Amino acid sequence: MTNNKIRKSSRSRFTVFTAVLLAFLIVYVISLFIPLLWALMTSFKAQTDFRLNIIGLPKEWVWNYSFVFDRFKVDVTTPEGRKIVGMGMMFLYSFAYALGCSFFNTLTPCITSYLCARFPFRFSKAVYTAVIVTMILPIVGSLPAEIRMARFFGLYDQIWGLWVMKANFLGMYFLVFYGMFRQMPMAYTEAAKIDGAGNLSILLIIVLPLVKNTFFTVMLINFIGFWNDYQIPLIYLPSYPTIAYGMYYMAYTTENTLSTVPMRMTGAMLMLLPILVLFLAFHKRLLGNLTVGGIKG
Amino acid sequence: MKKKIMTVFLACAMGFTAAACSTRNPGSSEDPFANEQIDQSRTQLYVYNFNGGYGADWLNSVKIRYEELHKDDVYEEGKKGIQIYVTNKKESIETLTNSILDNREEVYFTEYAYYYTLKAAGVLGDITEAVTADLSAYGDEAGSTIESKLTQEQKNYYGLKENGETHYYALPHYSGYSGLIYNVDLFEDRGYYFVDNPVVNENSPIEDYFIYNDDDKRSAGPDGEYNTSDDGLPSTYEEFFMLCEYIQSGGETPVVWTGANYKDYLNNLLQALVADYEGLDQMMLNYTLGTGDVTTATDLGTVVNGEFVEDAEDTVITTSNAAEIFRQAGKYYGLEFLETLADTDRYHNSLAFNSGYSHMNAQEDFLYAGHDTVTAPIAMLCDGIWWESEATTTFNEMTDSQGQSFSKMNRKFAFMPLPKASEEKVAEKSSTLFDHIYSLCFMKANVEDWKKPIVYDFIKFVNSDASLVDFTQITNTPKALEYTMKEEEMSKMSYFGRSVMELKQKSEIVYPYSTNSVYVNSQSRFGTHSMYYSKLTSNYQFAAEAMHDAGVSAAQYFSGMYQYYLEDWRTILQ
Amino acid sequence: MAESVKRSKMSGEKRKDLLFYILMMIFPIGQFSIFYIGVNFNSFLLSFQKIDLLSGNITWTFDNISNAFEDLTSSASMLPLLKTSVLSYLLLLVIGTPLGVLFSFYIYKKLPFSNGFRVILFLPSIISAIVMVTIFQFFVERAIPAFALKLFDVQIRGLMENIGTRYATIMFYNIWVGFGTGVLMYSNGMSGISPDIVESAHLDGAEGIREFWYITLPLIYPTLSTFLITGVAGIFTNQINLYSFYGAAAPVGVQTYGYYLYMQTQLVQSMSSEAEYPPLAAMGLLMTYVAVPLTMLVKWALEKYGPQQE
Repeated sequence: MTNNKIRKSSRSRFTVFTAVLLAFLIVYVISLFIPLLWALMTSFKAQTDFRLNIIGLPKEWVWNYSFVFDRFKVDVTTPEGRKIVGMGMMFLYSFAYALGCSFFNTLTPCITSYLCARFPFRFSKAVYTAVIVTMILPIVGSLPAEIRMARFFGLYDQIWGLWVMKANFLGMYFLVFYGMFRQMPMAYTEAAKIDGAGNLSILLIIVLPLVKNTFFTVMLINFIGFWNDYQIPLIYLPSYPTIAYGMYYMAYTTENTLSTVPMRMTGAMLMLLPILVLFLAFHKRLLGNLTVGGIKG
Repeated sequence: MKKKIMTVFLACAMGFTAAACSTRNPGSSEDPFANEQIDQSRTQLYVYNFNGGYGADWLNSVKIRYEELHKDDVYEEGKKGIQIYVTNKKESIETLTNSILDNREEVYFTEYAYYYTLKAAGVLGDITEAVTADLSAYGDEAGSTIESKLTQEQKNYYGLKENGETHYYALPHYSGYSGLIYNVDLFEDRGYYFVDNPVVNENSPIEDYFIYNDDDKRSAGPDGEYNTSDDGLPSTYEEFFMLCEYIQSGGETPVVWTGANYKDYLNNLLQALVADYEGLDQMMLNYTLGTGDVTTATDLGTVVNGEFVEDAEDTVITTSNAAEIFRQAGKYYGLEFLETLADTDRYHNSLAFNSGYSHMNAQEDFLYAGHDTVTAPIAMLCDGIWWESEATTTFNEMTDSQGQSFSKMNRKFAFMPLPKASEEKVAEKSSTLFDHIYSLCFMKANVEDWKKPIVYDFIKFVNSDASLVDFTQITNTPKALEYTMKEEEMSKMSYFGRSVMELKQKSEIVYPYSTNSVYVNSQSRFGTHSMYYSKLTSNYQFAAEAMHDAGVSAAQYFSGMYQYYLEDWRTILQ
Repeated sequence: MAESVKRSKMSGEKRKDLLFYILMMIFPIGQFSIFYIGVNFNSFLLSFQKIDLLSGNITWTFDNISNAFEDLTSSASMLPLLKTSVLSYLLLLVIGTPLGVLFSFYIYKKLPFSNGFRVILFLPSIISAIVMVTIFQFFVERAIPAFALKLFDVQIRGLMENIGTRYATIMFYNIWVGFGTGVLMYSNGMSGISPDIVESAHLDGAEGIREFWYITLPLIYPTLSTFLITGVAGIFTNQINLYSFYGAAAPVGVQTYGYYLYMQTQLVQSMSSEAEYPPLAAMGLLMTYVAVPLTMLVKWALEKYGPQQE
């Protein structure tokens, strides 16, 4: 109800300014779709066709998808022998990995930044500085130490293990949340405090709902990052190949049939599709179209 | 409306998946052992194979032969026979190093792996017993050992001295040479061979330098000897570019290479030219830095007025003045060759610097050109000796569409013996190849004691003459060990594979490593792609790039190299 | 002593706050100590080490730092790198960021197709960099020359092959795919602006560009400044997707600090050669000394001179 009201009031008329913006946006959309359509079209070509016919329609439409899909698997060695993981399982592993990691990798900075922004202890300043420093400090040769640590805590080759490893507060989203919490009027929490609410309930009942919009947005961005990441699963999840790892594996396989442009475009489309569908289905929710106004009263 | 679009999208997605599922068959057809399970009735030996350009066919062949040979042997109580269980992977050496001690695999075959780095990481097991054992049980002549198949440089490098004894922790595996591949069918058809003693004056047209009839006597070629396989090929850089002129005058493309990786590929060509010019001893100075048998650099020089002038005196190279080595004559002349080739557009393909033109595209065009009614023939390809196995798919496609005469076994390509910088160099009659692949075979450090003899025996088997020949026949490339092949053994290989083997047998080979501590502690500075930095307006890493993008000449690049390494060396030595 | 006096004076409220603070901080700080400090401490130490691979000896030295300093300040290759890094930062700052904010404004005003635009602007972000770069690179290098030949009958070189258009093409790509996150954050920030303010502005006749400039921009300033602050570090870390485009061999003229360091790290790591980590670690450490104060300075300036609210 409130949503509708807000929507109506903020909808505005065209001005020269916004018309120019529209023109820019249309150009952008065209510039984006031409290469994507070209890639889609290329995925239906045979390599012999593509070699001489780069931009024309396929001379003969070829269904590369089943071929690529068929190769889209990774073999994993387990103590019982070889296990072949197909696209379905990879999809599941990807989902478990990306969802858990993105959730914890969003929650931790959110809470930590709340603490830093709202509790003026000296330690908060140190945390803030640590975030800035770690964003810039390049790390060299830490992989062996990281693997050792993961093994020591029993997190190696476990999906939940990566959730823990990724539950850090570092990175720019700490600063995003921090900015929001700093900006949030004290009145909300003060009022609740006077009503006798404890710190934890203020956090859970008042503060988190206020930022859930941003929270989901950040989580979505993180989700996509983890979804597309193959390097971490490659090293830490040898028994659980994800879809991105599958793509990497396919792209770098020695089988040369798969490294041609049409096949790579096919692979790209195949990898793109599930996430595109997911994204289109949930974009309303994920892109944070829920407008959160102030708490009245 | 939006909902409708969504539905269409979802339907498409479902369609994709359904259609994809319907043609799916379990297991891959390429690898016959893809679904192999562990056989509890046999003892297992776990083997790791880097699944790169050389594939796994050779290892599958080893597996079949070894299992058959030992099918009745008992290694463990209650079990009979052995199962060689192969894992094919393509991990970076960094990932591998960090997981190796936890891996089940006991024997490893890898590439771009650095012996001393792995040794320092504590992942290598001692295989001296296998390296020094007699191989006659596997058909070698008596007294033959793996050690006897190593060159002196290899023995120095792999044999670590510990308490006065030599210990081996790894062995070289396959080889990787880069250079030029030429289309023999095309050369024969067009007569792209120099005629012996051409009757010419300065006004003669270019075709007068080449054979006219098939039976015209060809020139001696780069080896300076008649009646060898390189007769009629360009013997000097000058002749090489004459050949390019001749080829392009008929509307054909002299050389093709990848635009996406042109820096790597042309740099590899440059390194091959330099090694061929310098020869084994002088080339090794780049790595031994004066701690090897040869310490005197004989052909250093500087650029004066745009010309290379050799020093009057030889220079003794030590670790502290090693930057001098970057003034080698071979480097200068190699750069000159590269400049002419890269900067003359008519000598190469038009996409030679286009980052959307991959090495696969170059191989395809090399194979298809002249046979697709659209593109003109291409005479030479700049690539490595593994190119044929990378291009397998294209060979097969062409065989399918155009017939058996287009198969790998029926088409004729050859690895070109590189032309020499001058007539004097031709007269030296030497040939040197440069191996840049750093391929290793080793046992991991924590193999259980009872299994070690099995590993030793397996390594012996893999390096027996019979297995080396088998490897070469399957991959069409040589292993990085010394062995010879008989005529009838070679006949099972492609024309190209034979040409590589033939060239290897009459060449010395540079394995670019040493035990000098500066080398060992700064290995990344000695990789092929780190040996041609030059200090110009910016620091350039690749000569071809500086020449193509910034118009730098060979002479400028050469002088910049010395400047760069003088400074770099100060840091290294600190 | 003074500390304990202060603490005893602490009110019950404060004490509760502190307890809550500590309890909630345990996990993040613990995690950080183990998986960041614990794991990376060695990288810090490496800056001061010299390792001999043959003997395994480690010696302590300041040479790495002084060499890195010399490299960063005097070496021929470093000044062009600095130029490209700063230029890239500025281009992203003056083209990418304003466009992002303006697009967000359009979406926030719910003008025609705004939802569609939001989805499309975010599209490049959901596609993995490997895929996106592959498509883009083949498109500008192979498809555009083919189009030019077919449509206008002119022969042109690939846009990245041509040295005159190379850097512009790469920066175009970076801006072109980089809207997603920013637009998402800005437009969400804007949608948090109280409708009352907007309405009263409308009544005062502020619409279009005036509304954007006087109302919207100041109100999303905190979000915007976060992006600007973190962007500063980008001068030292942003590799403008060069690794995805070129692997280890990006053309000299377009390289940035971020790329250079990343590539060196990759090179050394691909050899897994411990002996060569120290110089790189030292260079990283040195850059941090420059980048952190710079970031803090920008943060301070943005806070001091930016629009005030509350």
